[in-house]
This record gives sequence, C-alpha cells and structure tokens, in this order.
Amino acid sequence: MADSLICDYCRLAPFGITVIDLKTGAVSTNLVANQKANTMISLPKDSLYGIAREAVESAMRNDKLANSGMPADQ
Amino acid sequence: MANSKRTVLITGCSEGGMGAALAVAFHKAGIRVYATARGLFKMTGLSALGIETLSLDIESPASIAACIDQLSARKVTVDILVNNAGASASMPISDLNLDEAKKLFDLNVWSQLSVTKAFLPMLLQTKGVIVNHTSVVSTMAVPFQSPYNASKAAMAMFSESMRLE
Repeated sequence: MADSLICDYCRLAPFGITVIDLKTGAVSTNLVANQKANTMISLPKDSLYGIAREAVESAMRNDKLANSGMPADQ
Repeated sequence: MANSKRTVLITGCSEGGMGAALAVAFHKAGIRVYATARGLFKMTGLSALGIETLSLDIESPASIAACIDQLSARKVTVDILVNNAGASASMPISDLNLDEAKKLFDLNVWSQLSVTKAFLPMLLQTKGVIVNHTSVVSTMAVPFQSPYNASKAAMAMFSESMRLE
C-alpha cells in the first residue's frame, strides 16, 4: 500500500483552476486514533456479525493497518 | 504583489497527520505555508519551524470566514488549497447509525465544499490549485467502513465534476 498514491490532475475548465484528487493509501496518521477516540467502534450486541465479532471489530479498528502504513513524512 | 512566493493553505494540520507532513514538505520546497487546524496548540511544532498557523474549523462557516479575514488582513492570497481535514468511521452497514454517518459526510464532504467555495474568489484570482485529499477507498471498497469509503468516493466525484465546471 505504501506506493498506492494516485494523483488525478484535472482543471476547473473555464477558470484556470487546477483540481487534484489526492488518493492516498495506508499512511500512519492520527486518523485511526481519532476514530477510536471519537466514534463507536465496536459492534452492537445484536449485530448480524456477532458470530465473528473479534475478526470484524479488529477490521473496524484497522488493527492490521494501524502500524503498517508508511510514515506521513514520506 | 510583493510576494512572488506561492502560498498554500492546508486544512487539518494537527501534528502526526498528513496535513502537518504536507505543511513541512511545502515549507521545505520554499512555498509559503498556512497550516490550519481547529486548535493552534496542535501545530506548535509547525510554528517552531517557521510555518504560519491559523485556527480553522472547517465545519464552522464563522471560522472559515474568520480565517479568510485574517488572510485578507495580511494581504495574503492563496494559490493552493489543500482540503485535508477529515475523519473516519467503521461499522457494518446493517449496524450503521445514520446520524453518525451523516455527521461524517458533513465533515468529509459538505465542509470540504464549504471551504472550497469560500476560497474560490482567491483561487480564481490566482488561477490556483484545489487539492482534495481523498483515499484509495474512494475507488476500492474496504468492508465495515462504508461511510468513510462513500464520503471519499463522493469527494472524488465532486473533484471530477469540479474540473469540468
């Protein structure tokens, strides 16, 4: 994922403004930590996914991505 | 104009994130950087590097207006706007709280457009650049985080549409 960074260069056609869609991949940032702090990140008790709770909650928490992203300053 | 230097304004520059990393990279490239975040205290390391910091809460129209007023007072026009501030959320769609999902869209989509519209007069003047920070998940679905994926896909499409308008 480290090199999965795509820039789409476009132009706000008649007005000379360039529009860039910066699609970044796995980067170690505050995103995951902020999400844990600010949003509900566990399944409700009656979830359809209760049977796979640990696996799904681990994916929701991005456990496998959290420490494997490229550093932001690269 | 006195300054021949290009000027970039970046949202969401709390340290540890890509906004702050971009601020440092632009600064090193010799571009004048205005790093913004909700709280100035989250950017003390950037100020220490000589990067200008301003308070900006992209969800608050009053804060956006105040930020533009501060720039105008300094006779600063922005050449590059980097819409970087954002957040994530995870939940299976079957368990999704729609109010929470809408809040994420308010931040990741509608606030981004609100900032872009506010800066448009400056960007028209400078024939500038709008950078919308989306994600690979705007084109590739990752399960259990659909509100985030969809908000990034929405911004990707807004970016595409913007370029044609």
